[in-house]
Amino acid sequence: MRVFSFVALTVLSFTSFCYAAGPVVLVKHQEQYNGYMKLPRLSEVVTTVNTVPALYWPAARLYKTDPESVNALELQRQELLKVLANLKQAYLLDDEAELAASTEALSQDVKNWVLAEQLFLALDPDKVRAKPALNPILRAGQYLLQVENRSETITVAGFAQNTEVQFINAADASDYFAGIKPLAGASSSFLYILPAAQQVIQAKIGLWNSQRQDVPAGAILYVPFEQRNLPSEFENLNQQVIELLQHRVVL
Amino acid sequence: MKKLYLSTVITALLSPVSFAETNQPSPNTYSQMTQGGVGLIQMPTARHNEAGSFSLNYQDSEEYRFWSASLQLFPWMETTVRYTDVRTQLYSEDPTFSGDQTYKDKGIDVKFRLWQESEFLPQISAGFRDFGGTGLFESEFIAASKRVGPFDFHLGIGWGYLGSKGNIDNPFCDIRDSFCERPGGFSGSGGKIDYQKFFKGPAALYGGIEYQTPWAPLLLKLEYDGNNYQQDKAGVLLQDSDYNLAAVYRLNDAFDLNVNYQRGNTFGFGVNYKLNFNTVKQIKLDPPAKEIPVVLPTATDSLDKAELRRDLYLNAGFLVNNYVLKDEEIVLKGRQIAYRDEAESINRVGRVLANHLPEQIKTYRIVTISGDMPMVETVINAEQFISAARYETPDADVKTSYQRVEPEVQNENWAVERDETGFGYSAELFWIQTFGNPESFYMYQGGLFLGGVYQFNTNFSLQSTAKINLLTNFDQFNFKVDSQNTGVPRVRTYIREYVTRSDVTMENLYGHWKDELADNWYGQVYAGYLETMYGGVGGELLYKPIDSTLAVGLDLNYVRQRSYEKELAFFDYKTFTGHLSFYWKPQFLDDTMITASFGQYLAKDKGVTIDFAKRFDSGIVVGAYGAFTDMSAAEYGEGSFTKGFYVSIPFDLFSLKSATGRGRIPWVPISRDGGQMLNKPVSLNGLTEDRAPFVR
Repeated sequence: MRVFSFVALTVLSFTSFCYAAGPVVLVKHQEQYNGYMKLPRLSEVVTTVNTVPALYWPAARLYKTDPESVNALELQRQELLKVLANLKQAYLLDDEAELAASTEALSQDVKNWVLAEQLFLALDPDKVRAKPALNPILRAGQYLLQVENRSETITVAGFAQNTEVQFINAADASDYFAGIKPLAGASSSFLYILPAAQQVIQAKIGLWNSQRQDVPAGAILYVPFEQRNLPSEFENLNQQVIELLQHRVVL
Repeated sequence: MKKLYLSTVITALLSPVSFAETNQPSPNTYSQMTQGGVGLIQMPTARHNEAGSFSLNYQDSEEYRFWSASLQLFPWMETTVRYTDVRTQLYSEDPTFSGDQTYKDKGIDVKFRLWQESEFLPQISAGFRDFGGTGLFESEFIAASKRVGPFDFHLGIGWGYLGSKGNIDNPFCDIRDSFCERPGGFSGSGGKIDYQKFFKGPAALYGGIEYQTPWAPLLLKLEYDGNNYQQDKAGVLLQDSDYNLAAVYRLNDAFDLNVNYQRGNTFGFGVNYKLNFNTVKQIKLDPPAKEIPVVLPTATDSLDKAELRRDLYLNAGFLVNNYVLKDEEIVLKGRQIAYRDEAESINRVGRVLANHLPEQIKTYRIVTISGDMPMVETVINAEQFISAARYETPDADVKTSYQRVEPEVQNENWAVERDETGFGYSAELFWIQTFGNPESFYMYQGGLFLGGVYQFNTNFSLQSTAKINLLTNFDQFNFKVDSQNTGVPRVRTYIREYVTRSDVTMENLYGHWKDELADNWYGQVYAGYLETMYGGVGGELLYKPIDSTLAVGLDLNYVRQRSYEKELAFFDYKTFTGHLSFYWKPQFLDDTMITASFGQYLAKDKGVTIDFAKRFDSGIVVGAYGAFTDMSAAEYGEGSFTKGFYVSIPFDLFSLKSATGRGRIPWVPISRDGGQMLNKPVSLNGLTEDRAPFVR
């Protein structure tokens, strides 16, 4: 398997390869592009990139950046923006100015998200090389492999004023909530944790339901809207936001 | 600033996968009350543990001792069964009947969740304690619980035993006058659910606080008692204080220890053993499932059949009975003896086959047999299976490459000429135990069932079993037949005679014919000595489609009661007995099976037996059944109707290698002559389990 490494002159341009001579899988990592002529196993992709010990694999994320995937997510984003706009209208009609303002703030945030389809696969090279079940063959296309040094911050999304908080080692989810400035209408009982390459965890942080929940480094925290404040047509709003947030690329 | 951590629990409601790297401590459970079930000390609360939570409790105080088992069947329903030892009373007035044994009583409780807790609203539950028995502690309650940080506040209203303090007016009394007085005594001959007593009589308000101390293992409880102890079975108990205190120490995930100080004058202590039937498992040291090499074998000539058969047995747990190797497919007939889960079984079998068979074999057909009859055929598309098993796509799933269908193997040209006639032998251990007997609380009998069979062909055989007692204390029986002569034929109440006649008895001796009559239809006929107490002739028909939620069976028997004096003789009593049975797995309840059998029983009474069984993720099955017939409670005698509970535990929860096979522990509070079915030597529904797996 020959691997091409070359510095990209156009950083975020996705050129499509229509001739058979080009690589079938292109993986971008930290400004470098790795191309593969035959469909690679996941282990090849991660070991090629694993050249520096400081890379923190538990926070690694793999995204599929093909135009088709991104367009599908774009449609999902428009759908969500429409729902948020409707919700804002509903609040304005009900004379809930603060809740409408919160909804608008989230709306603005969602508009600025960079989206790509996240694949929920284990990425640590040690795991992936050891167990065949964790080492599938990737589909043809373009990928973004995001793995860097261990981050000092945790990204915050949702109904909060912060965009990020300081990462605290081995801390409980409620500790992070103490450092977040929630917007009006945000829930004080639940916090959603979106760890890298894993499914969502619901953390219970209220006085009435608190349970210890670890927050892994590199996770995204989502501050949900209080379910009580949501009209019945919008009761799945938090789920919809999370579904899109899972495919957000945090640069 | 750093907060102090309180209770330490994992919840990953949206993420069922928990990776072992985190330092998350394992889930906490709510602690048990003295009589069993989640609660404070004497008073129950609105709290429920996770579904599958099981607790085995022993609680000791001066006047009472309680042995109880509490199980959270569903997230909204908790059940508890209990034996009570009333130390200040004797079992009976007659020392020749029960010696100096103290008074024993059984009880069953159930609790339902009515409202889930939210930020401002409490959790609300209602429950019924000690119903369906002689009701020493019979009560009903509605409770509310609300948590604020480390404190859990509880408030409730109790009726009956829990409400004897009578510190409030019974709210139902304002609605209807009949609720103001609680009827005394019990209906029937005990053992019935006394609906007419529910929520009647004096009511009391009770409450309590639980405090989770900053030290994680220690929990403190303070309770305001709703009982005034004037009507206790143990006698009138002195109540110096309305408040009770307790401390619970969580030794580890399995054990809770507690001490309490009740009524201002009595110490008590107890121990709880906790388990979760959904998550309990045992480490398995099975050989790993085979990986499929990149290069597959090319021709059938190099196929080493002996090695394939050995690999199927040792790696996939599949015992091959016969096979057919065609140009493009292979048909295997056999049984799975190691892996209870069909998905794992097929995964392993497919991988072994892909390792040995050449590429031109495109289809693997695996026929599972049971009792020599084909049950279900799993057709594996080899190409899709191999691609998924090699993880050739990121979302590869082996399950999408096969399907279960009706077996089509009548005209196959099997490779091996098998001689289906011959002798067979088996040995099985048994253990019978009974609780609450007058002679001694715990009585037991253990030994071996030695079986022999002569098989004439795959359909017809002659079977016999001998029962050999090795260990028993049944010689302590003071009486063989009870003195309750209610006029009903004694179809089962001679049991003590049968089990003490001799240490070696003939359990059964019968001829048996079985066959698959048509697609989805199975039938059997048997004649001879069918079980310990009955012999005769009978048959059964079963309709059971593959993977269906409903199966229907009909069995008809004509039997005569066997003599308990002589091995081969019969008594005069004869009867027809038979039932139409529906085996239903409702969609709205997870992993549950309800069996309803309508018909005539051994004592010629007619009615229905309902059996409710719940399977937990670990494979443990818990069930309860009751027989409701036209025999009146007076005719039935003590207990009013036949009921029982059972727990079925898969053996491989105890072993380091996967194995099929399970043991059943029954608990029958009272079994008399009403609602008694014949113990058929073979049950078609059990035999055809593979067609629509429930128990696994």
